[in-house]
Amino acid sequence: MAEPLLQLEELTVHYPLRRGFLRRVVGAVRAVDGVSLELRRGETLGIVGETGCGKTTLGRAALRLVEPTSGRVRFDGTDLGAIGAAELRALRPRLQMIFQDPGASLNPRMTVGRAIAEPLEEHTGWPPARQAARVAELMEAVGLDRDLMGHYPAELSGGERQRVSIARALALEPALIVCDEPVAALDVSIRAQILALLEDLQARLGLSYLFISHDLGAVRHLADRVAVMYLGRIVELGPVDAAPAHPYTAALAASAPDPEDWRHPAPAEAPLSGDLPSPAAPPAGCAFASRCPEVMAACRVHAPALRAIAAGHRAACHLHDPEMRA
Amino acid sequence: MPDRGRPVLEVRGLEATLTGRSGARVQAVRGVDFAVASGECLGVVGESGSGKTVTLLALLGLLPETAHWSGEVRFEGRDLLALPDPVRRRARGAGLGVVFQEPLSALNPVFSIGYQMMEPMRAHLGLTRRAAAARAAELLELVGIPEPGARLGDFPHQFSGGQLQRITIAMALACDPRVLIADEPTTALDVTVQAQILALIRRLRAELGMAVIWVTHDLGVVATLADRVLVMYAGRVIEQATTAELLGDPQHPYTRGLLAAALAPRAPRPRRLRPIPGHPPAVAPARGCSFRPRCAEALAQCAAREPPRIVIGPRRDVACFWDPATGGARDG
Repeated sequence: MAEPLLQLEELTVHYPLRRGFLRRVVGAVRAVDGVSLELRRGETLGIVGETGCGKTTLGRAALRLVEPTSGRVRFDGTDLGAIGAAELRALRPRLQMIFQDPGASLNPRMTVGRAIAEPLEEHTGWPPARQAARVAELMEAVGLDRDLMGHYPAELSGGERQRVSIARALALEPALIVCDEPVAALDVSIRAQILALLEDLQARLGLSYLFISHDLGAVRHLADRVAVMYLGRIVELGPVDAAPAHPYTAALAASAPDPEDWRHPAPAEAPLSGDLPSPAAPPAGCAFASRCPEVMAACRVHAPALRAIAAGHRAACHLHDPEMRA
Repeated sequence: MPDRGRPVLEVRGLEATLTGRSGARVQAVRGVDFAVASGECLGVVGESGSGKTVTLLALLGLLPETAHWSGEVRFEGRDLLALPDPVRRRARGAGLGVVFQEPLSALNPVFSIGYQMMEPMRAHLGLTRRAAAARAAELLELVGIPEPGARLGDFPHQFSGGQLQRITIAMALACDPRVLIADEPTTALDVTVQAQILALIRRLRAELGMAVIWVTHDLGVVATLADRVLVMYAGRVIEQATTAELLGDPQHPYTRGLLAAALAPRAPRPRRLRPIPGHPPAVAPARGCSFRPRCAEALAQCAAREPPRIVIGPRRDVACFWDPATGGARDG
C-alpha cells in the first residue's frame, strides 16, 4: 500500500491549567491524549465527537497550527515537528483549513477577488495577470458568480462566503484540507450544496480531507472512514457504513435527528444524559463509563485499549474484549 | 392527547415590512395564518430569509419601531397586538415562554442565574423570594442542571453553552406558559444535548399540556417533535400539513427539495444528497412564485402569478400549481 498522506503517532496536546494571581500551572487539560491515525491519499476521514472532545485541537495539531506536547505528525513522509520554520512555510501551501464560520475567517474589508488572490500574492510571486486568471478559475471551480469578485463578505450569503473560503484554501493546490465543521452554520439546502462541492473537488483534484464535526449525520455523507473521539482519545475508528461498535458511537448515531423519525414513536429519554467529564481530571478506567448505558464493573477500573475488532475497524471498549466480559 | 379543539394561540393575516439600514423596505412576512392548540407542537420550517423569525417577533410584539405590521394575534381569545403596551407585556410575560437561538443574548452577564430566573416569577406569579428560589431550583433540575440549588448564585459565564441554553429554557418555563415559542434553540448545540432538550420538551408537553411553536430548519427535529408543520419560504407559508403527511408525502417542490437535501444519519447506507440549486431570495420577486428561480418543476403559470394556497386535505394546503401525482398542473 502507498504511504499515507498524513500519519499521527501518539499525538498529545496538553494545555496548561493556570490558577491564582501568579498564574501558576496547577495541572493540564488533556485536549488530545495519545491519538494515532492515518489519512490515506484521496481519502476523507471524519473526526466526530461532542464539544470539548479535542477534535478541533487534533485538526490544528495535524497542521502544526498548535504545538503538540508529545508525539509525531508526518505529512507526506516529512516529520512536521523536526523541520524548521522555513521548511514549514514551504510546506504550508499544501496544508489548508476551512472553518465553520466564514464570516469570521474572512477579512471584512477585503473583496472576494482580493481574498482569493491573497494566498497567491503571499506564496507564488506570479504577475497580477496570472493571479487574476487563477482567481477566475477558482471562482468557477467553487461555483461563485464572477460578478461577485468586487463584493465584500457582508454582501454575500453564508453559502457564498463558505465558497470563498474554499476557493482560498484551494488557491495553492493543497494536498490536505482540514474541514472544521464547514457546514454547521449553513441552511439545509446550502449545506447539501457545500458537501456536494467538497465531494466534487476531491474527485477532480485528488484532495484528502480531515472532516471534523459533532454531527455523525453530516460526516456519513462525505467520509470513507470515521474516527470517534471522547475526552481526547479515539474510542472507535472504522469504515463509515460499519455498525457502531462502541456504545458512545451508537449513542451519537441515535442522537442525530433523522427526517424518517416520524415513522416511530419518539423515545422518552435521550440516548445520552450528562456532560463530558472534565478533561483536566479524567476519571480512572474508561472515560465514558459515567454515561455508558452498558457499563460493567471492570470499566471503572481499567481503561480499555483501542483494539482491532474486524478488518480496518478498531474500538476501545471492554464489550469487545472476551476476557473482560467473562 | 390533550384537547385539540380550541386554539390557544392563533395568528391571522400577519404581514410585516422591515426597513433596512439603507432605508430599503423589505416585506418579510406576507400573509401568515396558523393556530396551535393546547398540548400541540407546531413545527415552523424555513431557511434564512423565510420570515420565520420575523413572524415570531411580530406575534410577540417585539418588532423594531421602524417596522410596519398588520394582522391579528389571538392568545386565549384576546387580540394581543391590539392591547396597550403594559397590558400586552403582562399577558405575554405570564402566558408565553420564549427561547431564542443564542442563550447569551437572553441572559444578563452581571446578574446571577437565580436572580434572573426569580424576578419574572415574583413579578408575574407574585411568589415570595423563598418560594421563587425553590421553584427556580426545581426548574433547573427539570432541565438537567446538576446540583441546582447550589448553582442559583452562579453567573452565566460559569456554565457551558449547552447548560446556558437549558437555563434559558427553564426561564421560559418559569411562569407556566400556555405556549412555548422557540426559535432554533438547539441549532448551535451538540446533537447529544439537542436530543436531551427535545426529550424534555416532549415530556413537558405531555405533562403540562403546554403548546409549543418550534422554529427550525432541520426536518429531523420536526420529525421527532412536531404534530403539524408549516413550511415558510420568502415570507409565506408554502405548505402546511401534519408531520406524517409532510414528511411522508411532501407536495411543494421546495419541501421535497429540503427532504432530498436533508442528512439521513440512520439510513443503512449514506445516500448522495441532492442540493436545491441557488439560494433563498432576500426579497420576493414582484411577480410569480418566489421559489420559481430554484424550482425544477416550474410551469408556465408560475412566472405569471404567485400560486394561491390550495386546500388539498383537512388542515392541509400547499401554495403551488404543480402536482407531484401527475407531474403537471393541479386541477382547479
